[in-house]
Amino acid sequence: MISADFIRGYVDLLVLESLLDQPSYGYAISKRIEELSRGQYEMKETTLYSAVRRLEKTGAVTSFQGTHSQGRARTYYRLTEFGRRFYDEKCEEWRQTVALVGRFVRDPH
Amino acid sequence: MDAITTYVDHIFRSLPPTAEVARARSELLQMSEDRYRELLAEGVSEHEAVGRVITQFGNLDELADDLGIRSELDRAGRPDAPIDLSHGEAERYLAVRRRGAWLVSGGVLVILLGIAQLVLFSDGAGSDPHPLSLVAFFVAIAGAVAGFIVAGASMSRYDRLKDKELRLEPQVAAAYREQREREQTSFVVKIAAGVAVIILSVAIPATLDTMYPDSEPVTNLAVAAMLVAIGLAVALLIEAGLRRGALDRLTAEGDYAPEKRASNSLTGRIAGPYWIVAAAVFLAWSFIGNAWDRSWLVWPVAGVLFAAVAVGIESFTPKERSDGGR
Repeated sequence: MISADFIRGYVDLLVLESLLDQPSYGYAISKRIEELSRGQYEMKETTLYSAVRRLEKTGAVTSFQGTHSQGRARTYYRLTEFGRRFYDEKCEEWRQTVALVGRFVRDPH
Repeated sequence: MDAITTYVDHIFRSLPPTAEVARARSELLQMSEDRYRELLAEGVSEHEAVGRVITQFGNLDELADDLGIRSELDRAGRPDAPIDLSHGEAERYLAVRRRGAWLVSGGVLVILLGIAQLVLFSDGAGSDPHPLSLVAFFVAIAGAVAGFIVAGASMSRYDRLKDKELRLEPQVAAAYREQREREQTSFVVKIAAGVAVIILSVAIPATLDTMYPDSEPVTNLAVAAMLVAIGLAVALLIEAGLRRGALDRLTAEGDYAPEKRASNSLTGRIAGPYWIVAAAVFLAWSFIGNAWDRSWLVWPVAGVLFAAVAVGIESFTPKERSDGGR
């Protein structure tokens, strides 16, 4: 299990990734993150909502009312162009972080 | 599903009903319900599903800044945090306060009735009161004191509400404000009638004394009548004051506006001790000074003084609305 503290700076990246291919709604995003985490990380609902709301305010995602397969109304979130660029920036930031920290990580002897 | 709604409602209940909060509530509720449904579909038991949904829910603290509810969250748990009162609790509070009002005002009435019969059955000018009458008087005082104690004890159950801001569901609060508005006229009439009766009652012995200068029975009857009138008027003042005080408390108006909480419903709180002290003065003067012919003067003086205090409290405390300091 990876601690929530460690992931904190990358919650936005996880959420944006779930929206890359198609618009999605709250629980579906949550499930997507759960699947890719393979039990190593669990995002709380409040963390997810807080991230989505923040991304909406900065213009990275837009929301619209839609109905999913079982006919229930859901708030869907769609990635904007700015959101895509923001995702790319976050990925680049992550690669640099990995490279940076990697320089300090020695193989065990 | 009800368990999930109840849980989410509970999490959100102390937050202000802004659009941002409402949206967060509905989104989070939707997510939790979706998760719950899926868990059930996977064959998880209801109990287990509720538990997992709640574990995964998280903490509102994360949302505080996004929702603009930081100040509300930070206040929760602090001594000045507002108390949430359900409709049922508010009704019980009103019922206890009203019973307290009847006990206090009834107690004061009983004290004054006890004195009235003491005066009525005394034999002649300057003579000691009839022994049986004296016994009845002390029984009345004892009964009244018991009433004051019961009233004080039952009302002190709500001491935890003291100095706190109360928060009711919006429609419940609106209903109480409406009720307070409706009772405004009867409140003013009760206070005015109470004061008028006290002042007029003092005139009874004075007038009859002039008409029948030397008639002892007439004087006694007049004083007794005055005491009964004062008793009824004082009971009316206390009842009106306490009743209004309870409603003010629930609607946070008048002297219950947070900055004014300390000085509330003084009429009700001082009434018991006030009239017991008056009874003590009366007894001391009567027995020690052997002044049974004059000591009844304590009562008109006490009555008018009480009326002055009651009117002062009810009319000179600010009644303007307060938004609860938010």
